[in-house]
Formats: sequence, structure tokens, C-alpha cells
Amino acid sequence: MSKYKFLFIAIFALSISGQLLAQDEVSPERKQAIDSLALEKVKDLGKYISIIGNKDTPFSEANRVINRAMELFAEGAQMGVSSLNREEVKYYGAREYFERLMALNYDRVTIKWFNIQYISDLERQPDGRYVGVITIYQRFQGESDDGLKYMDTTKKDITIYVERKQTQIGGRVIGFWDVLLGDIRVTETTS
Amino acid sequence: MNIKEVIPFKTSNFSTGKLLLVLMIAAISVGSVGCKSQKKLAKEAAAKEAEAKAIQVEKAKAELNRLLDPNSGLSLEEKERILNRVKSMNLNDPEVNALIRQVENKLAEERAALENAAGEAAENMEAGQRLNQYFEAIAGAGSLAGANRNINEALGMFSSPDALVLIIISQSGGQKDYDRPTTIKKYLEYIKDQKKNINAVDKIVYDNQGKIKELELIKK
Amino acid sequence: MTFVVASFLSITDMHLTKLLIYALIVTALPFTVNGQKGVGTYLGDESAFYASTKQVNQFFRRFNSEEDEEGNRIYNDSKKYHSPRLRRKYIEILFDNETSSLDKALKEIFIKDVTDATAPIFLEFHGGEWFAEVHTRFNFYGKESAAILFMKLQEEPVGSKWVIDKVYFEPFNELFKKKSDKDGKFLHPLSHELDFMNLNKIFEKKEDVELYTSREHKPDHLSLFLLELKKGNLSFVTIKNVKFHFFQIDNWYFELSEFNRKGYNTGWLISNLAKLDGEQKESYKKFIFFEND
Repeated sequence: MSKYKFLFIAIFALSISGQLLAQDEVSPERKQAIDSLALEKVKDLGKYISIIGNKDTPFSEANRVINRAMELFAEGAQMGVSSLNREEVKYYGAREYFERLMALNYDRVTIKWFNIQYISDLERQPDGRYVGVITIYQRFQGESDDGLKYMDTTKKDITIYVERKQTQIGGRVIGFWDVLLGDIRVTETTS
Repeated sequence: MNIKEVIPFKTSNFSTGKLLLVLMIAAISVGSVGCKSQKKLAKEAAAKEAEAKAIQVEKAKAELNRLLDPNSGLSLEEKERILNRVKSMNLNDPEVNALIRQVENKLAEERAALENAAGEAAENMEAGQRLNQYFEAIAGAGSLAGANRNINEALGMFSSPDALVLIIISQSGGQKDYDRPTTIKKYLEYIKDQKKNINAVDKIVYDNQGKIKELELIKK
Repeated sequence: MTFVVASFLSITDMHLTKLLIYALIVTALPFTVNGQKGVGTYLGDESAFYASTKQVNQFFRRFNSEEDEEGNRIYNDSKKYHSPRLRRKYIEILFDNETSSLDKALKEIFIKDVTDATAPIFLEFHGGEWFAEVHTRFNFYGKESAAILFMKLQEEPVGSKWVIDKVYFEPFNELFKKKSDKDGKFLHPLSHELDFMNLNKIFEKKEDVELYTSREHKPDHLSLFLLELKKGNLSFVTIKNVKFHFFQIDNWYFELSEFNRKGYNTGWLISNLAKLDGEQKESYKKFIFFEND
């Protein structure tokens, strides 16, 4: 019995230290740098989407850009999309999403940004990585030369995985922040 | 360091005066005293001269040794000035001459290293500027072809398209935080795709052929 | 900016809270417009997005006054951090004022209670006593049915994670009858003398078998749910919506729901508020979990 009690206390103590560690490791200054790095990646994704969706982009170039965009994502990341008249979430794999976008063949795709973003706290997950969510608002506009236009405004809640990694380069150790995008929840909004 | 504080200068002044005094006394003696005493006087003068020279040699050796000391705190220019002054004394002492050669070699090395570093910095600055110009041109290219041409030109400066690119995202407490390491090809394409040039060249590492093998960028 | 002012003037029955939001937005705008750079063209009026409580995380931060008007995190070296004055303003805009019929007087008591200068109450993400109610759709034997998953945040040796705590699945509810002794379905008290040979009869009629179980027995939907999933009779279809139940604050319960609509009173907002003591809380939880008899 007392053995279990000890184990319980040990686990409890461990869980406290885990949380303390989580708070200690990322200082506000560092968090700010990570936040802006993550935000930059979110913006990069927006630009890649415009290139992929644009008919003027040569096929080979679009494919190259899809690969580059995929490098922003963690393995298995999905888009979960719902619209104003369909509450249910529809799922797309990230690559599937890009390929559908390429197939849409608008003459022009513009992704316009609302000047607002919201960045959550970074929370520690059981595997030691940190996770956060960046919320942005975008207006997607697809135009064809014959004047057809599709437009929507969406709220995007984007998962961000942050991991402190080290790599050996020419005998010296380089510490870096690996920031990857995860699942993206896309909700159509009324604005 | 103030030159006036450097001891050999004072020493040599002092000894020249002393020498003059000795010669004057000798000249007076020559006029009034006989042949025998003249010889004696000359001998004494020579002894005094030798003594003075010995003092100068000692001082010169001390100075030269100071120039060899890596912790002297003297600038290269100051060291060169001191060396020239010691040389102009023409002491013609084998030990001093040996030391002079040693110091000459050391200062020549230091001079070469300094010039090398300056040259490298200038070269770096030039390469950095060129790269920043390429970044700007690629970001602002009006056409895909134009961007690609600039990418290919810029790649020519590198040992390979896979040359390492590190991007500093923040620095605090002497610790650098980087983004995920990338390659120059990917980075140049990134600028092309994103049409934005947000990082500047911070450090360049060359290979033996003088090509860039590693590039460190920093957020503007 | 001009648009904000124009629309400001055109609204006649301006509620106090809306005024407050405007004040927040107008002060926030000049900073943010200049402070951003990025790709593409920025769009004009985003005041509604500023006002919206965009994440549950933001609900926590606004409730506690841990972020400024622009949504930037503030730390305990700032005067605004946990400021009772700011909290009163923030919490005021954290209620759904359009569809939920919340008692105004109760709301005020709540705000007074949690922003009390001597004993303020803050919400803690890792503080427990709050959970999510997730409405989902599952395919069960070829037919789509609603399932409600109750999720809670579980602390781990490192970090934390959301876990499924309970499930409510309507088809299971239909499968299990409410117990009643009236219909003569029981094992008589001397069955033991016959080595319970009468068990054969109760297992013949599958649909009534639960009537022979103890009073305490309640079907555990989560175990059944996982069993059916593993057997391949059940598969996930989609998520419909999510809300949260907060029991973290002593003597209070509130529900948090997301409102996606026009205007400024949007995002994650309090949709239900009640003053409940400990016992009342327990029975209310049972009600939420569909565990009431």
C-alpha cells in the first residue's frame, strides 16, 4: 500500500515538474519570436495557395509549390471545412486540398487577409512538443476571365506544432525551432 | 600609449648627453695634459662608452622582449614604431639583432593576419551585398523567367545548391534561435514564391575554392 | 476607420456592451493597422473580428485580463494584468446577449463575485472542473446517428491531453429499458435453492435482460461504443458542434458556446449561467451526461 502511495506521489511530483518545465522553458521573448515565425509560415501558406490556384502558374511550377507547401505541414495534417449552410465538418488531406485547388482552374485566385490574427498560448503535449493555435481570417476570391467569381470569408484555426530540435552541422550543434502546421479548421463566416 | 612614456627614447637622450660630456672633458684634457695621460683618458672614455652601450643594449633587449610578449597590450602600429626606433639606434649587438629579427617576423605575421582579415571582411561585405541584391531582385522579379535567371546567377556563388542556410529568428542571452535549416536552392525559391525578402546576410562561410558553403541570415 | 464611425452612428439601440466593444476596437485599430506587414492586400473593416472571442483560449484570457485590447498577451509585470477594472469590462462582453436569455441581475452578481478586489476568481486552463460536449455523427449499422462525446483535459507527466470521458449514444439508450419491477420480470428470492436454474428463461428474451440487473447498474455507453467501433459496426462521420461546461468557479456554473453570426457579440460566449452549490452541481452534471433516471 505504502509502495503505491509513494508511486502516486512520485507521479504527482513528476507531473508538477513537467508543468513547471513547460512554463520555464519558453520565455515571453522567445515565445514572441516563435509566434512570429509561426505566423510567417501561415502567411507563406496563403501565398502558396494563391500560386497553386492561379491558372497562369505552369503545371510543373504548381507541383513544385505544392511540395514546398507540404513541407510546412506535419505528417497527416488535414483541413476540416464547414460552411454557413452546412454545419458538419468535411475533411481533406493537405495534399488533396492543394490538388483540388489546382484543378479548380480559376484565372485568378486572391487570398486577402484581414488585418487580425489571434495566437493562443503554447501548451505542452505528452510527447514534449508544444502546440498552439493561430486564428486568422481570409477572403478567398476566385475569378474567371468570363467574369465568374467565387468568394468566401473564412475563419481559419491553424494548429502549430513547435519543437526544440538540435542538429549537428560540421561538428557544431545548431539548436533550432521546428515549427510545423497541423490540422486546419476552416469555418465560413458571415462577414 | 603615449610615445613620450616609452623609456628607450629617454635613455638614449641621457646617454648622448653623458657621452658629450665625456668627450668635452677629453678634449680639454688633450689640450693641457701630456701624452701619457691622454692615452689614459682615452682608455677611460672608451670604457665609459662601452658601459653606456651596455645599458642601451639591455634596454633595447627589454623593449624587444616586450614586443614579443603576446599580452603587451600594444597595437601593431605602436609595436612597429618601437621596433623602428630600436633599429635606428644601430646597436649592432648580436643578441639585439637576433631579437630584432624575431620581432620583425612576428610583426610581419601580425600585419599579414590583419590585412587578411580586413580583406576577408571587405570580400564578405561585397559577397553579402551581392547576395542581398540577388534576394531583392528575386523577390521583385516581374516574371518567372527573370526570377529563375537571378536564382541561377546567385547559385553560382555557392559550392552547391544544397549549401546550408541558417536563419536566426531571435538572439537572447548569447543564444541564437534558428528556424529549421534549409538549403540555398530552397531559400532562393522561397523568396521567388513568397515575393518577400525578409532576411539579410549575417555571416558567410567559404569553401577552399572560395565558394559559399554556408550562409547565415538574420531577420531584418 | 471611417466605416467604423459611420456604422457606429447608424446603430440606434446601442447596448452598453456594444459601446464598450467599440471603445476597445477604436483604441486598438491605429496600432494594429500600422503594426502589420504581410502578403496580399488587407481588407477593410475587421472590427467585428476584433470583438469576437475567437478562441476558447481568448475567453480565458479576456476573463482573467491576460491580454490587451489587441489580443496581445500581457504578463504579470503589466498594470493591466488581472486588473479588476478591465476584467469587469471584458467579462461583460463575454456573454451571449442575443439568443440566450440570461438573467441580467444574475450576470451582475456573477461579475461582481469573480472580480471582487479582495478575493478575485480566475479561470485556469489546467484547473479542472470544466469539460467539452462534442456533438458528432456516427454511422451505426449503416444508419447515421448522433453521438455526444464528453471530453476532459487530463494532466500527464509531461503536458496534458484531451480524453474521452463519457459518451451518450441515443441507439444505446433505446436498447436499454428503464427498470421497473411492476411487469413481473425478476428472479424470485428463492432461486438460489434451485442453483439458479431459472436463469435460462431470462436469457431467452434478450430485449428484457437488463431488467434482471441490479438497481445500481447503468449501461456504460463508452465501453459499448468502443466495443461496437472495434467490431466494425460503428464508424465516425463528422463533428457538428462543440460547447463547454464550466464548474470550476465555486457556486457557479456556466456554459460556453460558439456563435458564428454578424455583429460584435460573436465567438465563444457564455450561453447559460446558474448559481449552483456543490450538490446542485453534481445533479446538474448528471443531467448534462444524461445520467438522470
